[in-house]
Amino acid sequence: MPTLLDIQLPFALEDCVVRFMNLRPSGDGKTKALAVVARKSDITRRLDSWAAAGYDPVVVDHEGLALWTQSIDELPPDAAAGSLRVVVYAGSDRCAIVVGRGREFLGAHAVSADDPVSDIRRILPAYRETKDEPIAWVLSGPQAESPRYSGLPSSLAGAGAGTTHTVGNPSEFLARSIATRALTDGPLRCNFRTGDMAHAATLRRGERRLTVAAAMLLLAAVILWGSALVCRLAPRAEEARISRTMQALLDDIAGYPVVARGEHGLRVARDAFSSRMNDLQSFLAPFDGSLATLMCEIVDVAASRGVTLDTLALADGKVDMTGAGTSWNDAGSMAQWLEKRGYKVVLERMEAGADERIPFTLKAVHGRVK
Amino acid sequence: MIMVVAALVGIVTGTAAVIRVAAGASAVTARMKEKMANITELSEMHARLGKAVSARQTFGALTNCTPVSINSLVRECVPGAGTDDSRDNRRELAGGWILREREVTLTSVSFADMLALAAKAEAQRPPWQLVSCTLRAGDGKTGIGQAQMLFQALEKSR
Repeated sequence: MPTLLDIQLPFALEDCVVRFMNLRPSGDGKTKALAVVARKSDITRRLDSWAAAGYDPVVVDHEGLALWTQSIDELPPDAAAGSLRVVVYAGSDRCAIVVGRGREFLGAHAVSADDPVSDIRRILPAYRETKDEPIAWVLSGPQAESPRYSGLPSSLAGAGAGTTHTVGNPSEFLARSIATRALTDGPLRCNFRTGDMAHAATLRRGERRLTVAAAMLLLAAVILWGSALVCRLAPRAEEARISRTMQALLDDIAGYPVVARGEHGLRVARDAFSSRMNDLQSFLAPFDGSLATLMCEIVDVAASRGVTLDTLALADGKVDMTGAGTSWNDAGSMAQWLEKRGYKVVLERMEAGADERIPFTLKAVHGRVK
Repeated sequence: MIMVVAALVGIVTGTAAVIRVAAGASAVTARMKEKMANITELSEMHARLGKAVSARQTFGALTNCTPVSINSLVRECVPGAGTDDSRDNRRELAGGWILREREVTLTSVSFADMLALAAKAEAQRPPWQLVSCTLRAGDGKTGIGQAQMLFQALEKSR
């Protein structure tokens, strides 16, 4: 964009302060922006004259943008209309107009204070979409209510019929527009005092922002490092706790401090468990459930279901039986009874014999048997 | 400016550290899962061992650590029975204990009497625990047949 602008300016871009703002797509795949340009020598000259008067402004704004944004603030345009607006600043010894459409700034011009009508009549056609497009006139400045300027719209009636509005306190309009822009954030803000012309306060504010940003980045870095440290140490601490628990179990199972670690230590524990249980298993037998009671229960259940047993064998968590029932379901109910007690049952029933009883073979293994 | 550079370096290295820790997290998780599985296995062994030790202590608290004669129980519960076969095995255990095994095989015996024998044997202190049992019905006789029972008991040697 600076390259494209350089071509259009009557002076070298390197000698200017340039601000690009309001960047937006133009609808044809390109980008358009508002360029605000001022020669460095002009700004320097103004700064020197203000300094001679005892002023050191922090912000050097653009008058046209100031008039435009303040007029939009005080007299919001009708969003549906999108009509052309001309803000006229009627100064004591000068005049300026700002042209825009809707909320969009289009251009600013200095016009002759002696014959503003001619200049405006010359400038306006470039902005109007149709010859008779109505214009919303906004009058401001100390001379806004003077006959010369208050009659501007009617003087341009043939070329500019529309509405006319004079801002409240028109003589203070420019001052309050500049003050508003200096003190608040908003669209089209501009400060020509940049680079080596920047005010010390602006530089200090910039440094403060940089320091705050750096501090936030540093804090983020500390948080990242802290998170990494926590994520590294916490699992280690948990792993150490688990290892201690495991070691205590190993030592208890083996009956002595187990020096071996890892898979070897597990093997030692398993071997010690097998060896100790070899001796101790017999002591558990009376507490692991009575085979005699199970046998009695099976005999009772068989009798209650009309099942006669030919053989019954119980050992090592297994139940094997052969017999016959009066009906097809008798042996099935025996199987269900065992299944409810945690046995996996395989039942085979045969065709009824001459006695019309249904023979069967049942094999069951308790779930705890591996 | 130095602060900004330091902060940026800190962020980059901190991010790298977090990524590195995250990359290693799956290995740590896998290790811990394996250890937890080992702990589960060890806990089950520990519990079983604890039960067994407690059971041995219960036996040790008995005033009488000599089981009664199986033959006397057979005579008591199965009238007229003579054991056709009775194996008596002994195995020494740690701590001065002896594991005794007696197999009782009877033919043409009432199964009700055998069930009563098993119940009475297990009710002794110390008990003769029924370890295995096989009943075979006799031809044409309900409730009578061959019975083979294996009992175990624990005895404390003097």
